[in-house]
Amino acid sequence: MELLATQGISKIFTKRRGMFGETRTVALNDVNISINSKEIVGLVGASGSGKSTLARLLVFLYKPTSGKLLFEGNDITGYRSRQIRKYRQEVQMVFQDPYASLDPNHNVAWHVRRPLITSGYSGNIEERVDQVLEMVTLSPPEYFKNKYPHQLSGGQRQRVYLARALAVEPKILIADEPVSMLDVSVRIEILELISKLREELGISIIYITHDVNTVSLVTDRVYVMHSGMVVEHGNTDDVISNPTHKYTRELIEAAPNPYKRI
Amino acid sequence: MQNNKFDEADNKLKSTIFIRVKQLLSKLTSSNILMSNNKAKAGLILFLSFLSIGVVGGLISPYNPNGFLFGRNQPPSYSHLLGTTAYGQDVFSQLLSGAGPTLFVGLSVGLLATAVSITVGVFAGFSSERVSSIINGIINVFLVIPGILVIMLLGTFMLGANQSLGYFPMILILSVTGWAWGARTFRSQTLSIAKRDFILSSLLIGESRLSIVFRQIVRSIFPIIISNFFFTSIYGVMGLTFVEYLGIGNLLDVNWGTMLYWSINNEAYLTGLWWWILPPSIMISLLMFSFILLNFGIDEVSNPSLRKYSSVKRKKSAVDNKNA
Ligand SMILES: Nc1ncnc2c1ncn2[C@@H]1O[C@H](COP(=O)(O)OP(=O)(O)OP(=O)(O)O)[C@@H](O)[C@H]1O
Ligand SMILES: [Mg+2]
Repeated sequence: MELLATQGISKIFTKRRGMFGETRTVALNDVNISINSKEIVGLVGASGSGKSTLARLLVFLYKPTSGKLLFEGNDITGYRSRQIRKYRQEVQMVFQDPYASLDPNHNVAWHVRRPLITSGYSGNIEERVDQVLEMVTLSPPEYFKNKYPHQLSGGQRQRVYLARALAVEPKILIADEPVSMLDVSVRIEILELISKLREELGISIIYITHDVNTVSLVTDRVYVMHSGMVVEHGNTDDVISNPTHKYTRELIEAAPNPYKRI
Repeated sequence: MQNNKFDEADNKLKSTIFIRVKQLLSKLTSSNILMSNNKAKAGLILFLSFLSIGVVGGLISPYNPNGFLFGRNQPPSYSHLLGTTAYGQDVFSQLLSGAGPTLFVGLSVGLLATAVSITVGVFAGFSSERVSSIINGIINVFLVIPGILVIMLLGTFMLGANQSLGYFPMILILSVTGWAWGARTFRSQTLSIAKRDFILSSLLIGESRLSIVFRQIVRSIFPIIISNFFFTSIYGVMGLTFVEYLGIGNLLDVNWGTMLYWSINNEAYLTGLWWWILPPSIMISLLMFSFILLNFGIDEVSNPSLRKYSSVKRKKSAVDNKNA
C-alpha cells in the first residue's frame, strides 16, 4: 500500500539580494517519489542534490513551491498547524548530526518523555520510556535515563534520538544521513538497528545518504538524485548492478569499495 | 530463594540511593564551578555582603540616619565611625541605611528590565520573520532613546509641579529605558538557537512554541540572562545615583545617591570632609565592581573554551605537583 508520495514537487529558494536583485536556487525540480508500508527506500545523491530539502518538505519544515504531497491517498499539501502536528506523529525524522539534535540541557529521559507527553500517551509514561530505550538497545535504561547528551558517544546519541522519534509509534521514519557523522565502527550497528526496527515495528523508512555502499546494505528500493531531480529509480540491486543513468554509474564508481582490501 | 529476593530489593534500593547521591553530587559540583572560578567567587562574596548590609543595615545603624543630632563636620571618631555631615548627621548610619534602597532600586531595575527583555527578545527571535523585524524596529527605537535625558526631562517637569521622583516611578522609568539592550541580545541569540536541530526536533515531536521557549530557549541562554541582569542592575544603580545627584529625586530619602548629592552640594570635596563624600562613592564603585566580577566569572563558567583552558591549567599544576 502506498503510504506517502510526492507528485511533481519543486522547491525554489529565493534570497533577496540588495534592493531589487534575487538569487534563486532550484533545490528540487519535479520530484516524484513514493514509499509503501514496511518498505525501506533509499535516496542517494551527491552533496547539494536536494535530499535534505526533500526530507524537510516531507515533514513540513519547508513548504513546496509547487507540487503535491499525498499521505495515505489524501492530498495533504495545504495542511495547517493542527493537522501538521497530527501528521507529524505519523512521520518522524532523524537528523544527520546527533551532536546537534539533542538538547544539551536535558537528559535522555526527558528527550524520550516529551513526545509521549505532547502526543497524550495514555499508558505509564516512565514504563514506555524504559521500553523504547530497550528497543534501541540502550540497556539497562536506568543507566542511560539520567545521562546528558555530552556524557554519551555519537552512536548512543543517535540511538537516543531514534528512541525519541519512535516513542510515538510513527508509520514512517525519515533518516537523513543518520550515520554520516558517526565513527565508521558504529555505522553498521546503527544501520542494523534501523533494519531491525523496521522488522519489529513494521514501519517504513526513508534512508537518505550519499554512500552507495550502505544503500545496497539496507534498502529495498532506491531513488538516485542529481541536482534536484530524480534521475533513476528501481529495486536497489537492479540499480546498483545495472545502472542506466550516467550519473548513477559515476556515483557507484566514486564510492569506495569496502571489499577491495580483503 | 527469599533471601535472594531481599537481596534484589536491597540492591535496587541501593542503586536508587546511589543515583540520588550521584545527582546531588553532580548538582553540587556544577554549582561549585561558580566557586572554582576566582572572579565569580570574589564577586559573589562581595555581592552577598552588600546584600546582607542592605537587608539589616537599617536595623543595625547606630543612630537615626536623618536626624540632625550631632555637632557639624566632625571627623571620624569612636562615636561616629565615619564622622558627621555639615548638617550634623551620622555618616556611618546613613551609609548603612542607604544600602537597602540603593540595592533595591538597582536589583529591581535589573529584574524588571530583564524580564521585559526576555519576553520581547525571545518572542521576537522565535516568531515569523515579519513580526520579528517589526519588534526589532521597536527595540531599536528604545535603544536610541537616551534614558538619562528622559529621566532629566521628567524630573524637571515634576520639580516644576513641586513633586519629586519616588523610588517606584524611578524603577519604572529606568526599566522602560533599560530593557532594549538586553532584548536585542536575546533576540539575536534566540534567532541562532531557533535554527538548531534540537529545536526543529521539538517542533517535529509536537512541542508547543511556549514549551520550546521556556523549556529550551530560555534555558540555553540562561548564562546570558544572568549576565544581562547584572549589567542592567549596574544601570539601575547608576540611574539612581544620577537622578539623586541631579536633585530630582526625593532628597529626604537616604541612599548612596542622595548622600553624594548632599555632600557634593555642600562642596565636601573643597572643605576637606572626605569622610562624607568618599564612603558612598566607594560603596557604589564596589557594588558595581561586584556585578562586573560576577559577570566575568559567569562568562568564563558558561564559555566552554575558557573552561577548557582552566582544566588544562589544573592538569599542568597537577603535573607540577608530581614533579615537586
Ligand atoms: N534554506 C535554504 N535556503 C537557500 N538555499 C538552500 C536552503 N536549503 C538548501 N538550499 C540549497 O538547496 C540545494 C540542495 O540542498 P540540500 O541540503 O537539500 O542538499 P543535500 O542533498 O541534502 O546535500 P548534503 O548531502 O550536503 O546534505 C543546495 O544547493 C542548497 O544550497
Ligand atoms: Mg543533507
